[in-house]
Amino acid sequence: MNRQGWSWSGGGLRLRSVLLLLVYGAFGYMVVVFGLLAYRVGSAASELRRDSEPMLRLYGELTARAGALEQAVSTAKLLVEVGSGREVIASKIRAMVGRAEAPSPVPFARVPLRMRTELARVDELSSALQNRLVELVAAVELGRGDELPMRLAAIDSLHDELIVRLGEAQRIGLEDLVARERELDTTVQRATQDVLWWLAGGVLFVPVLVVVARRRIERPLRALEAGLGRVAEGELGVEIPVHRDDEIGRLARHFNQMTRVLRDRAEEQGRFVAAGELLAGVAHEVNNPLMAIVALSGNRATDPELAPELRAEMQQILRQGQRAGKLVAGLLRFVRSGDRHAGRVDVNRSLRDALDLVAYQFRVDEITLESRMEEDLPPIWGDALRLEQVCVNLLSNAIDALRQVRPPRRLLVATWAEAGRVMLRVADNGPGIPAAIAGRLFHPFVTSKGAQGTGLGLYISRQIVREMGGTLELESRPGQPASFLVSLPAAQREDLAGDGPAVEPDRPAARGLAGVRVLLVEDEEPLRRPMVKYLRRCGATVHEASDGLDALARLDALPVDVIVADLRMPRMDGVALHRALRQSHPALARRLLILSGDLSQLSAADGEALPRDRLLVKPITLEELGANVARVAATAG
Amino acid sequence: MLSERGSVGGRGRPRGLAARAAWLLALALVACANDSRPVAIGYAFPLSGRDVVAVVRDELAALRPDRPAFRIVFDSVVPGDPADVEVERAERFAAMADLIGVVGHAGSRGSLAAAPVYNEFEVPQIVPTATSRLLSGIGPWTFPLVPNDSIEGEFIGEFTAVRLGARRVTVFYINDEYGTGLRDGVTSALDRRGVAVVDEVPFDHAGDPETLVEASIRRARPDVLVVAARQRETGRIARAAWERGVRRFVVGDGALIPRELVPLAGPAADSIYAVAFWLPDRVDSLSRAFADRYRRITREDPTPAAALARDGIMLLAEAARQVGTDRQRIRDYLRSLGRTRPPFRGVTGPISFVPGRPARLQMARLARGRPVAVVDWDPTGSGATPPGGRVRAAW
Repeated sequence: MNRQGWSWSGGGLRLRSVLLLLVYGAFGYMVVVFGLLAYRVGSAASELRRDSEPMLRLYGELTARAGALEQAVSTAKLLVEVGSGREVIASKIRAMVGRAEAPSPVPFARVPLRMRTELARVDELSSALQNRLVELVAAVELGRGDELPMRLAAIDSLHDELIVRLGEAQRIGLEDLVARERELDTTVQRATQDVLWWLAGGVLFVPVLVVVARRRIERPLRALEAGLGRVAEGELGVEIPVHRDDEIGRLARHFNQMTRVLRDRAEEQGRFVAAGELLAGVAHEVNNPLMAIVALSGNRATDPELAPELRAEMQQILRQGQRAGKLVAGLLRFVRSGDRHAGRVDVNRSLRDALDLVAYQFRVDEITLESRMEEDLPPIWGDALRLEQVCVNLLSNAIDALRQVRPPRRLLVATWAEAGRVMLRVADNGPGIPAAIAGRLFHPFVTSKGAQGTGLGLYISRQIVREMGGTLELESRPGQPASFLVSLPAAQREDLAGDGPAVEPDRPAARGLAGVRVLLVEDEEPLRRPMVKYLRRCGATVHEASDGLDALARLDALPVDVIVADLRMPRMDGVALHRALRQSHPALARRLLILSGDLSQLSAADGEALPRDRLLVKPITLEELGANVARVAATAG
Repeated sequence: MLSERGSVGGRGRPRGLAARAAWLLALALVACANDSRPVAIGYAFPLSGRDVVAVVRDELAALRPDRPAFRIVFDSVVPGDPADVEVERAERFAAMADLIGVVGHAGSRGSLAAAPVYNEFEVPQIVPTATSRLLSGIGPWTFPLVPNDSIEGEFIGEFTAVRLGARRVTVFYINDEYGTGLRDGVTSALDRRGVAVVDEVPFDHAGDPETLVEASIRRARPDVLVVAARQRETGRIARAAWERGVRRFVVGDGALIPRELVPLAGPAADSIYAVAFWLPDRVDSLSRAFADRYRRITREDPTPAAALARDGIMLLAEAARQVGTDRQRIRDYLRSLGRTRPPFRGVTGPISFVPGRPARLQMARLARGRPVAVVDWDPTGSGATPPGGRVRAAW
C-alpha cells in the first residue's frame, strides 16, 4: 500500500484519498462548469471576431476605394461639360485614381467563402474602373476629346456594376454577420443551458457529498467520541464498530485495542488492590503476635536474673521479631503508597527500604549485592514512598534480568551527590536490553518480560522521577548489561524551610516513668501483659482495659496521665475512644497514643484528628513504647 | 475540360502460352498493387500549357512500369478570369474523389482565388508560375514553386538600375495581384538605387494600352520601360513604346512566351529583357531531356511556364509514388522536401518549400525570337552557374 498517494487499503478507500477526491472533484466541477462556459462562448465569440475582422477590414478598404473612384467618376463627367481646362481636371482625376489603390495585400483567404468571391469581384471591377479612368485621363492628355463620351459611357457602366456588386457584397456581409450573431446567440443559449444543467447536477451532487461525509467522517467520529466519553466515565468495556479500513477505521481499531488493554490493566490493578487489602489484613494480624513476641522477649531479655544463655536466646528472638515486623511494615507501606506526601527525602533510606523488600530474593537467586551509598547525601524534595517504589521497580527488573544468566550474578546499587543533584544507579550483569525495544523502553506497555511483564513499571517510574524534577535513563547500550541512572535535584534551602525534621518517625528517647499514670487499652491479653509489665518496671502506674468502653468506664474513677490504646478492638476501637474522649475528656484526648498494625485503616478525618506523633506502628519495642509514653506524659504538666 | 490518361505498362496482345502466362502474372501483380489504381492530378493552366500534358504523359510512359497510373485532368484557364470562375474551377477539382493534387492556377489572382478552396478541402495545390507574396502564407496546402514578386521585382529593379543604367523609368503594370506585387518590388529597388520612377500606369487586358503608352511617354519621357504583365499586353506596349522612341524594355516572367510575345512586339522584340525562372538552353541533362522531348512532341521551344508546369505535375506523381495517394501524406511529403528529404530534382532546379530556399532567376534577352540568358542571379547566394558561360551578374 502506498501511504503517500492514492491507495486502496483493505476494504475501502483511505479517508485522505476520499477527502482529496472530494476536493479535486469540487475543483474539477468548478473548472468544468466555468471552463465549459468560457470555452463555448469564448470560442464562438473568438471565431466570430476572427472571421468578421478581415471581412470587415477588406470591405472597408474596398468601400473606401470605391468611394475614391466614385469621386473620380463624378469629376470625369465634368470633362464632357467643360470646353477648356480639361488637363487640370484630368490631373485631378489622376490624383484621385492614384488614391484608389487596391488594398495591399488583399487578405481574401481569411474572408468567409461566400463573401470572398463577391469582394474579389468588387476588387476586380474597381481595378477595371481605375484602368478606364487612367485611359480617360490619357485620352484627355492626348487631346482626344471626341473619345470622351464613349469612354465615359464605359466608365459609367463599370461604375454602375461596381455599385451593384458593392451593394450585393454588403447584403451578403450583413446576412453573414446576422447569421453569425444568431449562431453566437444560439451558442450562448446552449452554453447557458448546459451550465444550468451542470449546476443542477452539482446541486444534486451536494446531498451525495453530504451523505459521503456523514457516513465516512461524521458518524465514525461521533461513535468514537461517544466511546471516549464512556471510557472517561469509567466504562472500559466499550467497543466501537469498525466498518472500514481507512484512517478513522484504524483509529477505532486502536481505540478498541486501547480499551482492551485498559480493561486488562484495570483487572490486574484490581487484583493488586485486593492483594494489598489482603496483605494489610494479614499484616495487622501478624503484627499483634509479633508485638507480643517482641514485648515478651524484650521483657525477658532485660531480666537480670535470667541466665546468660537464655538472655542470648531471648535477644535473638527479639531481633528476629523486630526483623519480621520491619518487613511487614515495609510491605504495608509499599501497598499503601497511593497517598502522596511531598517532603524531604533521604535517598539512601528509600533505597535501603526498597532493598529490605527484595533482599530475600538475593539469597534465593544467588545474587551478590554491591552497595556504594555515599554517606551524608543531601536530601531531595519529593515523596519517599514513591521514590521507594521506583527503587523497588529497578531492583525487581535487575533481579528478573539476572535470573536469565548463570552465576555469578552481581547487582550494583550506588548513590552519590554531583553538581547539586543526587544520583542513583542500579546496574546488573544480566543480558541487557534488547535493541528492538531499547528505543521505546520507557513507553507504556513495552516489556522484555513477555506475558509476565505489564510494561508499565519503567513508564511509571520515569513519570515519578520526572514529577520530582529528575530524570531516569538507560545508561547502557542495547545488548550490554543494563544500567539505569536516576538523577534528582537536591532539595533547596527554601524547600526545607517549614518542613519538619521528621524525615523518619520520631525515635523518642527513653526516660523514667515514675509517677506517670497510664491506662493501657488492649483487647489481646498476650500483648497487653508484657507492655503492662514493662511500663510498671519503668515506674509507671498502669491500669488495664480490654476495649474503649471499658476504658471510658474506668476513667470516671481513675486519674490518668496517658492512655495507650489499640486501634482495632471489639465494641469500641481506638478511633471511637478518641472521639469520645474529645467530648468527655478533651485534655486526655490530647494524651492518647494509638497502637496499630496498619495505619492506613484510619480514615482521613481520623488521621487528621490524630497527630502522627501519637500514632505508633506495631511492632514497636518496649523501649520505644516507654519513650513515647514519657513524651506524652510530659505534656500533661 | 480535357481529360488525358497517363498510361503505364504494355498493351500488346500476348502471343504463345508463355507470353500469355507472363501477361496474366503481370496483370495479377498490377491488380494486387495498391498504388496501381489510376489517380487524378488536376492541371489548371492557360491553353498554351496544354502541350505539357502530352509531354508529361510521354515522360511518365518512359519511366519504369512500377510507377502508378495518373489521369491528368486539364482545365483551361483564361487569363483575367474573374475570381468566382477560379473558385468554381477549384471546387470542381476538389469534388473529384481520386484527386491527389492540383497544379495551377496560372496567375496570382487565379491562384489566390482558388487557394482557399484547396485549403478548405485539403487538396495539395502546387502553384507553378504565380508570384504573389500572399501565396506563401495562404494555407498549409498551397506550395508555390517560384520566388515571390518581391524577389522578382527586386531583380528587375536592380538589373534596370545597374545593368541598364536607367535614369527615368516608367512602370506599366497589369492591375491585379501579379502586376501590383511586381510594381512594388521594382519601385522599391529603384528607389534604393536612386533611380526615378517617373510614371506608374495600370492597365488590363481589356483596355487601350497604346493610348496609355503615348500619353505616358509624352508626359514622363522615360529611358527604360518596365512592364509587369503577360505576353500579349507586354507585346502591344513594347511595340507602341518602340514607335515613340523607347529602346529598352524589362519585363516580368509572365511575358516570356516568345511565340506570342515576338509577333506582338514587332521591332521592339529584340530590345526586351525578360525575367525567366528557366530557359531551354540550360546544359543540365534533365533540362536538355525535357527540352528535347518538348520540341519533339510540340515542335516548339519549351517556355519557362511549361517547365514549371511539368515540374509541378512530376512532383505530385513522385509524391504519390513515394507515400501513396493519401492527400495528407502527399502534403507531408511536400513539406518534408529540403527538411527530412532531399529536394525534388526538377527541370527548373532543386525544389523544396523551406523558407529561404535557393531560388535562381535569369534575365534573358530575346535574340531573333529566342530568349538568351544575359544574367544569372541567385538572391540566396547559392552560387548557380550561368548557362553556357553567359555574362554573370556583375553588380
